Amino acid sequence: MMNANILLKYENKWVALSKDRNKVLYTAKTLDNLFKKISQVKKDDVILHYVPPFDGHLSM
Amino acid sequence: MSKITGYSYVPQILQDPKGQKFIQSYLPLIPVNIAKPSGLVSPQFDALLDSGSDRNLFPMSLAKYLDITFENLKPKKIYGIGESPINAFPAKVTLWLGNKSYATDADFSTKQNLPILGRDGFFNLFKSVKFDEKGQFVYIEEF
Repeated sequence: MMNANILLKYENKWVALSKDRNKVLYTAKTLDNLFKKISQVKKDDVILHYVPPFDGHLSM
Repeated sequence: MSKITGYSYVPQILQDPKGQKFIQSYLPLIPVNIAKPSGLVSPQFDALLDSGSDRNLFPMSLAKYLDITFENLKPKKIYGIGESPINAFPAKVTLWLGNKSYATDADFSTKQNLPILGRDGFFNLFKSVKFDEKGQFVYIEEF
């Protein structure tokens, strides 16, 4: 089970997680920039994940 | 017998109501890929299963990455929380869940960060999508 504490530094940012969700491998303010950062990485090695703001609930 | 796949909810950070400490909250996020039909496949990304959403809604950056263009298309309005709609552009995509692919539709918006999987375009691809809130699992049953 992933520990959400690994996301504490990345509020309202995009992160690339390891496949086991235990590590943040790359981070960027925008998804566009994250795509640039992971361009040299094997696509199958990451899960892209948006970290929502911590001060509110999600309701779509 | 239909195949059922279970996905554990993914923990997120939430400030407690007093704003003094952080707690974990759990969301029904599942990892998917999308592709332009016969095109580049995106990296896997977490998307929220949202039975309250009519359709799939993804960040515009995903469309840009896949080279999906919306020339001569009028934006459609998406209503949600609050009074103001956001503009989004529809496209045909191939959605991958595990090793299975599905032809479907999705809307893309510059105003949306969290990828959302909605009823028309995701839930209707499956026999059932069941949320186990107590167990914090979601079960997706194939046709």
